[in-house]
Amino acid sequence: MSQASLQRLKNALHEIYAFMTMTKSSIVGVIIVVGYIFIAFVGPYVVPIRLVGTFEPNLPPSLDHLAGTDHLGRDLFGFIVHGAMQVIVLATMTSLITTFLAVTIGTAAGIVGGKANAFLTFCTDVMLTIPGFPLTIVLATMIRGSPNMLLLASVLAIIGWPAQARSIRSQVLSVKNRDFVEASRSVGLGTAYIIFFDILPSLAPYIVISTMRAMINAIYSLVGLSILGALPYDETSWGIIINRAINQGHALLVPAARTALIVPLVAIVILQISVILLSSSFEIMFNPRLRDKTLRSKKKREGQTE
Amino acid sequence: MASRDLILEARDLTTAYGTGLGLVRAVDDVSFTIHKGDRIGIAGESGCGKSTFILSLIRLVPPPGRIIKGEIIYHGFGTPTNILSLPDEKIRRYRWEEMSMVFQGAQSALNPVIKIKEHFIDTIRDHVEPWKTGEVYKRTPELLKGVRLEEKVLDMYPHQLSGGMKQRVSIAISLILNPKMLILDEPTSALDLLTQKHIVDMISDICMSQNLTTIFVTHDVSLLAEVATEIAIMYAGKIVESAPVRDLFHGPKHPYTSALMNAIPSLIGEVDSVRSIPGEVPNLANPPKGCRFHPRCPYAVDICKGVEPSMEATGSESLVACHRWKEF
Amino acid sequence: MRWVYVRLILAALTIFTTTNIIFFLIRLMPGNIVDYEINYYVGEMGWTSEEAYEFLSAAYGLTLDKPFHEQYLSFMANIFTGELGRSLRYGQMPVINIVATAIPWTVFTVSISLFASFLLGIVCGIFTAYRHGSKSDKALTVSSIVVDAIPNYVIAYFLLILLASEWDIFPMALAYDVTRVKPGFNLSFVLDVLWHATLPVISYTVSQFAGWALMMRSTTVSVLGEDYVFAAEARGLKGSKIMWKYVGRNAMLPMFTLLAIRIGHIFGGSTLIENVFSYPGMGKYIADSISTRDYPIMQGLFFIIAVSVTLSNLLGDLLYARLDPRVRLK
Repeated sequence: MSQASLQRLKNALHEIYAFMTMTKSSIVGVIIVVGYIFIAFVGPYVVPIRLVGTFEPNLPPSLDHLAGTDHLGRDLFGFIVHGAMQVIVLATMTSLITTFLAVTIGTAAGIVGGKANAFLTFCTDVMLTIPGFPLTIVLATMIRGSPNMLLLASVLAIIGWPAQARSIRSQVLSVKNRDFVEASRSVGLGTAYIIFFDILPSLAPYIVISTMRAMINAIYSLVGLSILGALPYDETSWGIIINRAINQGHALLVPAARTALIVPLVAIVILQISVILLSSSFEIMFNPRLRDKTLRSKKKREGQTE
Repeated sequence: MASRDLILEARDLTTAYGTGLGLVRAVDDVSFTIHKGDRIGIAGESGCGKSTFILSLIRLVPPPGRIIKGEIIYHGFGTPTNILSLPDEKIRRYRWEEMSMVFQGAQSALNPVIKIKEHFIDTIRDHVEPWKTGEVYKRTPELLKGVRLEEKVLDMYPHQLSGGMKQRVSIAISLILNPKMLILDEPTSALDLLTQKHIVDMISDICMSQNLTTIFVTHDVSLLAEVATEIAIMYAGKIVESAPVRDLFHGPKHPYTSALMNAIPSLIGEVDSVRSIPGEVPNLANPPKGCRFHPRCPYAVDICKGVEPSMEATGSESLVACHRWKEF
Repeated sequence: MRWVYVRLILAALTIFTTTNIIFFLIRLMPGNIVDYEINYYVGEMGWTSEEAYEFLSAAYGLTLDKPFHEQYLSFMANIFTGELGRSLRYGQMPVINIVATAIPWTVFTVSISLFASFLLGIVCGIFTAYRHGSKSDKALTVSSIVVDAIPNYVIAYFLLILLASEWDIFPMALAYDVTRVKPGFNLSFVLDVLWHATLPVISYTVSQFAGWALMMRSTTVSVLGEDYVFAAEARGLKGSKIMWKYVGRNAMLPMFTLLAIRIGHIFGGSTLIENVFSYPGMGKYIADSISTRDYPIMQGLFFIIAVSVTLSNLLGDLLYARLDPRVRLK
């Protein structure tokens, strides 16, 4: 590697480090998300699952069973660990598909203008008002026969893209008339160039942040649907653990059985919160005004004077 | 001076923005006296502190600005009161009952979601006892007539009015509580020329007929010429000259004032007799030592660079802050 | 007024699109459920085609043995007349009957919650905006962001576990206690209904209001910088009047553009929350229909929810026009 690119790499790493340690919440967010990813991909090789109950049922969390046991005496921690991958992979796929759809349609509407814009906007608006979650339920049950991750992710993406597409469209509309786009156009650079090198890069911060939001929604829908039993399942799906706990473990009536209900809920909440903290950090990083305020208060805390 | 009563005095008023090394004194140690019935025009380049000065007079300097020194003594309450030490509720009443203001770009001074009449009603309700509100509201049609607007404007929303109409509404609202003083901040700048003329005429009628004490900040020379009784010239946060209108136009004593006069094109004068003022407005965070105008003054000498000139009387009602005024 | 007509047309088009989507899903999609069911009844249950067709036609509100375009027309006609199909499992009960019993409960809880969360959001939003930058603002904003991220069913389960199961303050399920009160306009019934509705309403409200509060906060902060607010202060108007009539009313307006999405979300959330509390609204029936594979119910209720959302959006838009004269009097 040449000196220059090495230096650039160092700078990039330094920027990333600065970003991650910017505020307390960003540190927490990063740690937890990385932790979850680690658990999801490495965990299954380390923690075993037993589908048959071999332990005492309804045990609270302890050193032997970090997440307790369910009503059938199965270790919950193993289930959670194995189920994490599903959640993370599906959520990521869904959010990427959502973003892709939203960017494509939003940009097309914004750039093309005229009748096409009106039509696309109309479609988006109609899709927006159709209640997403019930639609997803209907769609998910229809594809229950063929469990295919990509198909499932696409179904989940259906509710997310209209809202995002709308924001992207309005952003494209405002960026379209900015000076640097005008400059590119006057030099004779084609539309494709303008889209990919002028407009999209300036939208990049927003896209990153809304992808994270899409992830949160994806996790919500994913788990929600499996609680209702609308998704093809295996026993490690977090939503199914909840479903089983209530319907078969009678968690609502038997206090001891509550562990199986509470543990997946806590896992979900912690994941959601950390993704949100991460997206807030991105927001701060991308918005120079917020960033200066945060950096200044951080410096103050560390004893440097203004 | 018994025939002209004092109504407002500013003493060593200093209003600043920012903190520490970056402290910008938009109004620096300014002292000024206003008598009842005066119509005072304040003129000067952008950034000289005129708007900050008048905002200080109603104690409404927007944060991060604040008044850090001085007093503003108001004589309309019977006993002289420093309005800077009034509690919040009293200052709320002071605003509009004693002194009201017409803003620059008054187009956006109106709440877009309520009708024009609501603006009047809200103002009246928050100042006048409940049983008197009806009475006060009855003055509205007359006021609207005074600014040449029809009564039906009351039932309209701000976005239905043109810029000039909104400005006139703002003038009418400013008079609803019969204040003793009226301040106008660039009342004509955001309007087209024709409307400007109308507004100037209107202001002239209103102020002169009601003998209202008026302060207006403006670049508009016609406004100054037609309406003002006295003019104060501000530069870099300080008042550098103040004199009755005629005297100022015919015999400016401060180099900056004469430069400003030269910068105004005359309808009958030669085109190349117009001269702009060389140099730039100083940085108020770090103003020049001594007389602030010295870097741009063609008559500056050593003393100007070191010692700040104080206001000296050049006549019974004129003041100037220049070391060499006697020579001019 | 023209604007109102545009909105009405959009609403009608939305409903039309929804019905088309349903038809597409149940008939036109390859491997669709109707074909699947035909195969099931004829192949595995040994019915004749005619029997299967008759049964399924009544169930789905179609005419299965006719060509596609006739199926489409009969489907549309049926929906228009309120024939939403029949349950496959509950002895061919018309879906419309199920809708009639379920809809009041959902609309009841959802509308109270919408109202409450909107109001709470506005108050919190203004409160934090006025204290913009202070410690309390930062703390409240961060907690709002966090609460907003928590899924509504998580909140619902926790409320259920804590307040109902553990501490027994509120009931665990249903809309009212059948063993103790009789439906009707008597006080004990009304109180019982309210008591049963409390936890669902709290769940909806808590999960929604943070989003409103954050939005209100940002719109208020920008309104606070507007000239007319400054002018109002200069006019010596009372602080409370400025806060509500000058700042509040203007800051609230942009939120209506998000109202559409939010209403959809809250109706959608009803499936999960009603499932948690076994609350007999539309959401609960949809949830049940998943496990019993009673598709006509699922579709019919989906349609009704779509209509409810569209109507609520329309109401929201009309309300917005009432509040923002610039829209009305263009």
